[in-house]
Amino acid sequence: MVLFVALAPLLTGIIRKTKAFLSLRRGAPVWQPYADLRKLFRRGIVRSSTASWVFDLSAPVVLGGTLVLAAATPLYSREVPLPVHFVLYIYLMALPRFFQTLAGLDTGSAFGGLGSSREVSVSSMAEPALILALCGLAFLGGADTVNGFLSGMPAGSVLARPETILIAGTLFLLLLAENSRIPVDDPATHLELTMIHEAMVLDHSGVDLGMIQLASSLRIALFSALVSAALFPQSLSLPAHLALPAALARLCLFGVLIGSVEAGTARLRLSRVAAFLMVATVLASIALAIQHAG
Amino acid sequence: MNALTVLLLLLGIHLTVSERIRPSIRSLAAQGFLLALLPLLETPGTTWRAVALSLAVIAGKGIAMPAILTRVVSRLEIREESESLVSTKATILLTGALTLAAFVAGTRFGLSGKDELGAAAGLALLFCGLFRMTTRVKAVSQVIGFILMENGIFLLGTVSGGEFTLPIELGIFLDLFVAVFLMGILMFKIQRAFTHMDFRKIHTLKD
Repeated sequence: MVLFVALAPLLTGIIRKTKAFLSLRRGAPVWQPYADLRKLFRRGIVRSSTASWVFDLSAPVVLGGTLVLAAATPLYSREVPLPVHFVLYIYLMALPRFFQTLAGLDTGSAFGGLGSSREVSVSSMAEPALILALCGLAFLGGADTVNGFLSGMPAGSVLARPETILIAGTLFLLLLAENSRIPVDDPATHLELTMIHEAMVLDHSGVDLGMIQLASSLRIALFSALVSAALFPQSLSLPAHLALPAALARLCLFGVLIGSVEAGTARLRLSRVAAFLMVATVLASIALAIQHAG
Repeated sequence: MNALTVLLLLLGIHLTVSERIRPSIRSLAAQGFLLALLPLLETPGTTWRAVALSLAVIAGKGIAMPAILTRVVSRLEIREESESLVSTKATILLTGALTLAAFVAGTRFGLSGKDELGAAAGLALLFCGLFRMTTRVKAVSQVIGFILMENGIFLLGTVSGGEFTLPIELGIFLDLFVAVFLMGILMFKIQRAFTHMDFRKIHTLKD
């Protein structure tokens, strides 16, 4: 798991590199996120004078909550340090966001509140799709802990259980929405009025910002682990010497995939985001219907 | 087989929700090619009837009908966005609801003994096609809905099997082809007479 945390910024780096490559720029090297983190962790924190203890607490809680989430997700093998029920898993996903939005409101800046309100509205619309998708996986895997149902998935090719393709598709749409990637939010924007996630963290600096950036890299890596485990549960039962190359391959694959999706699509209007997430919900519910029928 | 059905269903949902005409026509063509695989997979062993039906479906649904529609769209210079009487969000929700209803109906009434998923998906495509046909404003869009509906009937017919379905299927198929062909010609005429294709305005006659 330590290795997973260490590799997570690399995914962000690969995504950025792919985006740059596809738009015919050279782009920063893939280890740029590590350099950013190193710089941020050596800097002091500048704090708004109106901020309270909630603001100070938020960054550690965001990183800590995401680490707990990582402990509950099967990354390389079926065994996890902390097996949790999938509903608790969804709550664990919401906890860092809750503190993040509180911190955004706490500083009293206009953009923080704006970002918080948008972030909450996006994630609340993403919730039903997430619950339906995890329910579908739980039915298929015949267990109710996250590592339990992912390792209990019926063996054989994905084509034999097409509903997992739908669920993986839903989870991928959610990956884009929950991690503020392009069709929903632009992580690289400099215009505060269009920001969602970035507006919320505008007031964080130094070590706090480093922790938040590390947490968001980790979050994308966790989502991609979920998607790949749903599609290829075999990857969780690999022999020990193959697990690391497989994880690296997964990292590169998802980096390129997310990067090309981001480079190839335009950002949706804020009012269309609801439609985007409804598609995810509809896909997940159809996956459940297919399970019922097939 | 199941994967094919799911793919057909996904394309159908895209067709119901999509607002742009050219991507819809592309999805329709893809659906045509996938439908052509069905008779080959359904009949055990390769019979000449199955191969003939499959080739006919490729020629008709995969190539000819999309080609006619593309021609109509480019000749009439139809705008890319096609209006609907229902908003996009409502369309997405209703598509989901219709699909779920089709699955409930398909499995509850036991439309097909051997392939429940195929029958339910066929029913879902039928509902989706009907929905698109009734809510779209432009005639071309409605024709796409009509073909989608027919694709659903085709899927339903193929999976429920039976000896005599093949000739019937071919008959319906021919009807459909003629219908699309006629509609293509008709649309040119409407365009010339009214200079638009909006059915809400066609009700008032021009002198």
